[in-house]
Amino acid sequence: MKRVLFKRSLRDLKANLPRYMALGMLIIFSIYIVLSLVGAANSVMVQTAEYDEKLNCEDGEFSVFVPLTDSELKRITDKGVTVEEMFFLDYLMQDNSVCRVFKTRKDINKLTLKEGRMPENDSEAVLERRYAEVGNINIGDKITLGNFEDDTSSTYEYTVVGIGAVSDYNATLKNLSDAAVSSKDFGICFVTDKAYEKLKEAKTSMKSEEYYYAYKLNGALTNVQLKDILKDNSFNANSVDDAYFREYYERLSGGGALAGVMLSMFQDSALFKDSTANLISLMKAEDNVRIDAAADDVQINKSAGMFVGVLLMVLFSYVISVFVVHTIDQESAVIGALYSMGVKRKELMLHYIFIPVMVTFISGLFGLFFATTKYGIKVQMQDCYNYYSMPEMRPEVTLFMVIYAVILPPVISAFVNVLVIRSRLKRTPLSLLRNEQRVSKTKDVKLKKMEFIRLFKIRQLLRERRTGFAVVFGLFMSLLVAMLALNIYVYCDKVKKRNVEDTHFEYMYTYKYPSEKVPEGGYEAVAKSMKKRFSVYNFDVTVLGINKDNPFFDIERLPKSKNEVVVSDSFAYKYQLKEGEEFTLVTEDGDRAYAFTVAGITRYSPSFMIFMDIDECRELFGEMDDYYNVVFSDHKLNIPGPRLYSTLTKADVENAAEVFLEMMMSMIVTMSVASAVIFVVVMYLMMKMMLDKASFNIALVKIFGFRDKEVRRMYLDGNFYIVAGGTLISIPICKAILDYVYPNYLVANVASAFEQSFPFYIYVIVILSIIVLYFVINNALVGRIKQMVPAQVLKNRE
Amino acid sequence: MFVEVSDIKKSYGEGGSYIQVLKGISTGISHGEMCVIQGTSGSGKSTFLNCIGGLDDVDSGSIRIDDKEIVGLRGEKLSDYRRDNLGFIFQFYNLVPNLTVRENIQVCEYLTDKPLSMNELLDVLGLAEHADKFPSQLSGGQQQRCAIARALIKNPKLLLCDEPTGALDSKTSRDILILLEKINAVYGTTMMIVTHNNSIKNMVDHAIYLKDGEISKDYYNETKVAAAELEDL
Repeated sequence: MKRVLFKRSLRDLKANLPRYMALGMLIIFSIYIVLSLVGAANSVMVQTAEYDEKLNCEDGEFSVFVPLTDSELKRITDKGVTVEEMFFLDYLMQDNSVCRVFKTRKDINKLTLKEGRMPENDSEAVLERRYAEVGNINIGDKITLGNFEDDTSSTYEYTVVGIGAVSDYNATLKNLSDAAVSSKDFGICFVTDKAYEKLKEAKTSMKSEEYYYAYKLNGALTNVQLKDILKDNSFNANSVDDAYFREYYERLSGGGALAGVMLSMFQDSALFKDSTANLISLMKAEDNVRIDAAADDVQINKSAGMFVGVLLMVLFSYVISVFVVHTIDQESAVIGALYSMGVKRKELMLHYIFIPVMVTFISGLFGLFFATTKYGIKVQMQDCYNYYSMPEMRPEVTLFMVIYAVILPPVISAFVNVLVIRSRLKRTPLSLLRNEQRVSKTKDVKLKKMEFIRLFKIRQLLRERRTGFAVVFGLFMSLLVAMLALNIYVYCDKVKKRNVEDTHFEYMYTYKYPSEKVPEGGYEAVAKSMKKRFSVYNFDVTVLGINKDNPFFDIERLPKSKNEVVVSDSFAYKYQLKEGEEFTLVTEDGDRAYAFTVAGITRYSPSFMIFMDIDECRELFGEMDDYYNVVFSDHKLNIPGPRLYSTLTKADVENAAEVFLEMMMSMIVTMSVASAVIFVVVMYLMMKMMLDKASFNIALVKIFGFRDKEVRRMYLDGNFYIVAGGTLISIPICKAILDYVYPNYLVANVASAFEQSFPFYIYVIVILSIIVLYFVINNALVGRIKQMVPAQVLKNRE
Repeated sequence: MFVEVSDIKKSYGEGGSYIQVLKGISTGISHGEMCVIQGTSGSGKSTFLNCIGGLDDVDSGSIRIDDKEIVGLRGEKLSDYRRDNLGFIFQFYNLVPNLTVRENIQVCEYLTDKPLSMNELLDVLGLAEHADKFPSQLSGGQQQRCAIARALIKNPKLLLCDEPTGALDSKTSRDILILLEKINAVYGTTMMIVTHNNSIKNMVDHAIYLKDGEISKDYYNETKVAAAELEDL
């Protein structure tokens, strides 16, 4: 019997090959996409960890005012902590990008080369991979570092001998507060120690050298313990030979009220006589958004991909089960006859789940195969490669992925099908032989008097509720994918437009050593960098004290209060804050917390900003009455580079704003196409099956004299209600899901947030697309109605 | 003649499986006549009925219904012919399972501008109390009455019945035949009834016997008996 049933299954498979092929292709396509996404995420995560280990990625880093003395270093290293200098100089390049120059690393955050070799002499350099790719710089090309504006003789030329990556600049962000990587505008470069010293001596960098150290705790100390040691380090201001520092120091020394200055500039020091605290900041690796950024980013791809994959598998299994139920209903008498001859239910159950299991199993195998080709995991990893500065990584196929692709689909399919067809096979042989129609509660609905065709459509929908459910389920899944794509598009588009629109200044100068007087044409401000945690990410938040007449920010009223502030709307959206609510910010080292009340929300999206009155700000942070550390202007000011920490131009904002949309566009298109394919295939198969199921009745009503047009209205057009209803239900549910998932998980690591509503036209596009696809499918099925001829009634009976 | 059939031929298959089912049938049925078509299995009686109903093509010959040629009609014209002229009753009722009795009748009510009264039909056919039931909640006889009501609602000129009592017990069969007789009397509907049942010929005006695709007997019944008096149903 088993052999006979097996042969029968194969014949069924052959008879319905186009249907199973279509479903199989859809499953292959879904598994291919999901596995590529999950596989890429997994490969990035696993190999990032491996590279971190191999390249000795830091446990954290700290910055200081002046380099640590040998004895200070010894004090740390004697405890078992490894420390390495990560000093750097920033150079403005000829293409207006900024290149950050480091010495080649010896022990921590080591460089891994994609191609070429390490620099061996003073005129050789290694470039970070993304910067080289975007700038189209290859091995053997020359780069020039120096000040092109002031003195061309003070430029140095380097031959690029290697292209690589380091783990502490996995996301090559110029500033930690930058919302996005823009390799067109910023990159890093490594030269020999000697070359670095030569560059430093030339004093042609955009700003003074930054003193960063990377450390490995080696289990000897905790971050807190290390910080405590570093906090004890002080330095003699007179020993610093930076002219701007000296000028600033001397001005302040003669000016009194030094404690405030120290608080702002030198952190917690209460003394500023001959010595002060040297530590500026200390940051654990897990709080550093540059480290492991790609792995953090793809984490959600892995979990979301796997979850969506299971949901899709349930959908497809359910779709198959609808076919199986249809077959069982058609074969009711045969099943009854087999039961009466002694065939067991288990045997028939196995017979009916054989095809779904085989289809999903074989499709899973193909899906796995395609995912492992160069068009699968590798392509998905490419998105990461095109954004993050990752070393060469191989696509990795794990045992878990094989199980996920090959075992999980048939298991889900078997489970769903057993669940759905179980009750069908439970009927008695006699009931099956007579093909008794069960009167279900849904079918037994009494309908009011209404126009006949409408009544008929409703009856048809009630009868085909299982198929209708599959259509709505498919519609929901495809809408979820489509709306995620749209969410990404709307978000990136908002970043692109709003960041530019909200930036009214042309230049923002952040001072290291402010001059006595605010430069002519500039508007001074006091900026304090603070932190606020969101999920596992610790974001930079700038508290900005500004004057009332600052023309670059659209703030009607700045409260005369130290704890009442106006917040940028991006900050308010990120942390779900409303007017009157309280929130806290912590200092960068986490030692002190400040509580604020939201007095207003203003439009500003490029970064998280908290606005307050400049005098209140100075007072809150213990600054002098004329203190400032930021200057905004609408034109370029003549400020010496070494005085500055950084310069942000509107052009920088514009360039960075475009990155998101450029980067995500291919994903948006892929997801939109995938959602349309899911919708079309599921919808087509289900609608076709509804027609096939009703073929006898269609033939019957044709006998009575119904025309094809009327039959279409009765049997096909009713699906519009399902699609319309499904759309109206699914859109708000999908949006609600995405409104929760997207900001909290998908872009949790992005320092930007917006009001999440879609513009009205997006909904119009979604609904119109569904309607158009529906009518395309509907029209494609009209031919099927024409094929159903009255003679069918003479051959079969339902 | 309301139905005029001239030399119709119908065959199926090719080569070794070729079979000629109708071998040149000619006959006529008057308006308001009850006509029974009998014959053994494979004699071609159902094929004959299907050809008249436009459900099957003929190879050659002519079928005129109410003076209109139906051979060669296609698509909407064929639909219109059926819509305007015919009612069908099948052996296995062929009710739409997810529609109530009333809704099943509405299917055909929709097809005409001048339907008979739904309530009157339900009363005449004894279905008034079952109007809101689904086919699966009815007995075989009730289902067939519903099928008759569905066929009659549009007041067809010609009612084609394919083994209308074939699936029913003798008492229910008699009830159905009484009903058909009553409908013929009340509405003057022309009826063609295909049946195996030898007794039915006694209640009709005209009987046609088919044998191997040809008419072996074609006669008018001069000693009609009422359906209620039929024996051996």
